[in-house]
Amino acid sequence: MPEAPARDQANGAPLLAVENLVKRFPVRGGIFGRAIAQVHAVDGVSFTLRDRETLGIVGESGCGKSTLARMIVRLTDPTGGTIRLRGTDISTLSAGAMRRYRRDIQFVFQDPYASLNPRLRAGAIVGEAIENFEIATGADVSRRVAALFARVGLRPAQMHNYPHEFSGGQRQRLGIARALALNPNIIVADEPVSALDVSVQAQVINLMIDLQQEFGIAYLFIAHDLAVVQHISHRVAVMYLGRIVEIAPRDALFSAPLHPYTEALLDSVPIPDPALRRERDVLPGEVPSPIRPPPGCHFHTRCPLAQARCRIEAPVMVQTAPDHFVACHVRAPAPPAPPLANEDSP
Amino acid sequence: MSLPASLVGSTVSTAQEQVLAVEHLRTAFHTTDGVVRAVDDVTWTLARGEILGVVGESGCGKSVTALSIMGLVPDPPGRVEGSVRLNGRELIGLGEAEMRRIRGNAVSMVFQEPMTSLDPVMRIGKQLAEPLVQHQGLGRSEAKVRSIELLRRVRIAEAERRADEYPHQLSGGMRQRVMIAMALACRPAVLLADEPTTALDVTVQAQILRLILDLRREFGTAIVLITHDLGVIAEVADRVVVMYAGRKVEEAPVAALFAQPQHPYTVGLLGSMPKVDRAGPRRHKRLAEIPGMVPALDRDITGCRFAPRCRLATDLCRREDPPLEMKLPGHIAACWHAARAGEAVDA
Repeated sequence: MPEAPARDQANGAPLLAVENLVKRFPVRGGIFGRAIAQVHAVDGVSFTLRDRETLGIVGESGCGKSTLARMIVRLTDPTGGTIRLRGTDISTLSAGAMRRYRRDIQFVFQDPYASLNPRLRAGAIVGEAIENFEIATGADVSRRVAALFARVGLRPAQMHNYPHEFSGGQRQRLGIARALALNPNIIVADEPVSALDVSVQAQVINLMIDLQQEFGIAYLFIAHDLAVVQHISHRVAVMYLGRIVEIAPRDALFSAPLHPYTEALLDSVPIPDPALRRERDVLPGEVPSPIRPPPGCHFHTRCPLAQARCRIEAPVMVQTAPDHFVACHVRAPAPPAPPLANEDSP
Repeated sequence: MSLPASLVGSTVSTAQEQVLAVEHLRTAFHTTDGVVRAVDDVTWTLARGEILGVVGESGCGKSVTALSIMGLVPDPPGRVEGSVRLNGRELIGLGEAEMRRIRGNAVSMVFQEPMTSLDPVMRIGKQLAEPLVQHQGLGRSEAKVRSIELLRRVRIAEAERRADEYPHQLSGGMRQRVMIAMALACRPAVLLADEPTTALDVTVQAQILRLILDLRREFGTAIVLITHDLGVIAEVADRVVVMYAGRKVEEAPVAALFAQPQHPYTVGLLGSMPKVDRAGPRRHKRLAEIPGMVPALDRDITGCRFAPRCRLATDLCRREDPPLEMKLPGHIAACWHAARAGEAVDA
């Protein structure tokens, strides 16, 4: 059984601090394949992740939440901004220099099958990381793998099976075992339960909560399902078209949301109780293209509260309560921003 | 438990005009590894204008039920037995030519991923006009006018312009609207919608669910809504069929199903589903787990199919298959211990 690692908080820096993170993808066209436009996938995102907490990130497709996750685990390079792990900026580290930090930030994918080497037995998949990072050697490796299997609810005999012999839920347990093998401080989980049936989903969510309590892991939990996010998170950030529009403690976000988009999202969730059936307000339209996001507040084209200012000037994050920040001119007006400070382009 | 009838809608369908009656439907697939009984003796009816929710997890047979009704189960390896009557007419045993006349006309279907059923190289307007020409004998120009009208009916803005576009130019939500427009083109008596909102974002899902309710009101179409999502069921269904491992295990008016589920599997499903709570500080409650997995359907199962995962299971359950019985008025379940179903998960 892996021991809960000692948490180094000596230097006082937050576990993970993301600042003004930006990712743009070129859209290529023409006969020379030149960049003719850019997808603004992540457009200036800042947040911190604290020890042992779960920060949920919600948003609809195209909001940039998966790109954000991929940058944080360094599967893709940011276009700008910083990712500080205990104060050290890892956003520009080379693969070699990243190696010593890699242990600390592990990733759990939506489709574990795609991320598990189909030719390796399950035990080897988990053991590989342990050997690579020289956490254990020889018989200790398999003892450790067996303990991890038992902890995530797999039978140690299943170490000899190949990934395709596992069910969806078991595969996700295997993906979690692999992530746990290195005793990470952070697990970035991108839609880890959305491909699972609801009864199996509950098993995996309960497991993740138990593991967090046992090993003191912090989760960056990315999902589109608001009910799952509410269930597992301590704090929640809502993304829309590449930006965080609101970030708040879980209960505040769900019972007293401030951003009109957060409200619309919550209003859209089907309520599993026919006694509460009602005519609901339906948010009109769909998310605009991230190639040409609307100027000003990205949400203004669908916002019932939009005013002239919203169409011109991007709102800044304003603190409205402890830990509660919202970017909305109407709900949390800030003084006019200094010139260029919040422009979409210089 | 009491609800205004206007909110919950029609309850037991037998009192009203039946448009679709599925009786003892069995669909099996004969594979080299054996016979997989995907749908095993399923019976239900659908009344005019009613929305019947069919809920269950992957492999429960809900989609195969819809494909069986539509005559879309490939034979071989599939084999469909039993009875499916649409407005009194038996569909099982009809030839492909006859089924083609019925499909898209008297009964049509909407799938989870509209791209699989839209022709990628045909303009939207033309795809909509095609069935109108084929099934309803409209002229080309008349069909074009109708197809634009249909796009408006499903709340597509700038319908004329969209009619000239190809499917890939539309967003996921808009494609699903087009699918619904196509499905409704010939005013079918029955619409089968298989996970119609599962691939959509939650705000778009809300739009499509609203549209489905509006269209039922406008056209009186009866709808079978197949989904894994009990939230969607609670929002739009009048009556619910819960399926497990190829069987119907429970059927009830929607309010009764949620208020007093009579099958431990339904209780487990409801308990394992996290729910958005907007009321304020929330005490942390562990999600109910249904241990284990669904059984393989390629071998005979003795006793209740849910018994291996059921906390209430007794020797009786492991020995004898519980019959579907009326447990409460209009409320059917197959469980020897229905009265204690609520104890199937931690309170």
